[in-house]
Amino acid sequence: MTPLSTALGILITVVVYPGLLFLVVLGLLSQWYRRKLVARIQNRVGPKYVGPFGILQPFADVYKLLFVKEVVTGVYTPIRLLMFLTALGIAATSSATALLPMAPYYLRAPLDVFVFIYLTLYASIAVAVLGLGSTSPYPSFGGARYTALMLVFEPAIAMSLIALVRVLAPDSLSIAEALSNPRIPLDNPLRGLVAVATVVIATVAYTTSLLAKAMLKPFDIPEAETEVAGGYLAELSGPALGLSILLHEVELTLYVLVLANLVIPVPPLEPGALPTAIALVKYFAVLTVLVVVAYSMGRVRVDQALRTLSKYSLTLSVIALVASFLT
Amino acid sequence: MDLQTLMLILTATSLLIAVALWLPIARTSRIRRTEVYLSGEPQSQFRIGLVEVAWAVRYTMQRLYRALVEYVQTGLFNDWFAFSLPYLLLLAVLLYIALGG
Repeated sequence: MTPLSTALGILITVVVYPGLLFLVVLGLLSQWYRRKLVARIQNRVGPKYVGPFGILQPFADVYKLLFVKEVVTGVYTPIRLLMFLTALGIAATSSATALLPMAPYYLRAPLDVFVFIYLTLYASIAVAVLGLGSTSPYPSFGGARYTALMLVFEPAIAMSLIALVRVLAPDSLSIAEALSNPRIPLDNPLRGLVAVATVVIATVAYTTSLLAKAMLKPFDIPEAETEVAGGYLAELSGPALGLSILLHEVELTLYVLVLANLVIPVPPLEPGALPTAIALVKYFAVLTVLVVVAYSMGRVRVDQALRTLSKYSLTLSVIALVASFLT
Repeated sequence: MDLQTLMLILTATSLLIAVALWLPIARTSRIRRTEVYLSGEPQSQFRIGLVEVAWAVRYTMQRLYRALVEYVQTGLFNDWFAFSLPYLLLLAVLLYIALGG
């Protein structure tokens, strides 16, 4: 392959499929699905007017925010810089999809799970800075609360991800290999049992951390409307708000997609229409469980959130990481 | 592909896409700036004078002085020694390094 075709392959993977464009479309469809599901749980109608069953409502919302509305902001808020950081978060999350073996041209290397963790960290930092960068106190509270939670859920999500990859691809620690060619230790019953236990513990830790990272209930205190008047999003409007909504959806989509295909490793993730369709079925199944679990709980305070995360996410992820070395 | 190359390629791609995503939105978006709310006073009247800075310095120093008096200067030699021991040790280490190890 020539360097030019390699560069073109990477760009198409990162920008079109399964990168930016795919993540945005899937993320906004998932937002519609999530809103409909939550509305059903709460005995409401949910999105209804734009498109059949309101399926195009998230697309219309984001389009209007990005291209029609104006940004209203304080004099001292560096809004263009905040918008750039949000765009960087979206771009880095999209770049992380180059490690998913869904496209014909995907990248892999030994220990690439660390590159995945590094790239997805941009989104969390962008969310924290979006809150802290505003001159108004409400977003600053939201940003500070998110940062406090971030110090617990980021190490937990990293350790549980490493534990999952360690079980499925122990020799290379490559997320691409764990997804495309998972090794399931069925030869030795004891090792198989330890592997299953590790996957279960890591999944619980990962899911709990993901609820906090995506600010779903019960960990949605950084964007709580009643407590901090909208949290980190309170002072954002127009394109800045549109970009932050895109960032949230893209981040959640990537994490759920990876979780679904690591927890249900058979059939493995491969390029092609059928494997992609199966991957999407797994994705929506995991998303349904996640949303039902999240919205059957009430919001907790910051200290309660930190305690819960330390218990069910940080401690469990350490246990999963240690157990993954026994498989 | 090795890990360093992968990290460099994906970081560079992220920056490239971020700029491509941000530039058109930042250039076309209309931004309306609102003044800081100062209890109804216009922002043009808001200024920080030298006297306010002097008062702020005095207030901060007063708090520092109070903290020093309350926690360090208790009147007991043992307290003072415990407080200054880490600094004395640091000085000793620096002196040791300065004298050529």
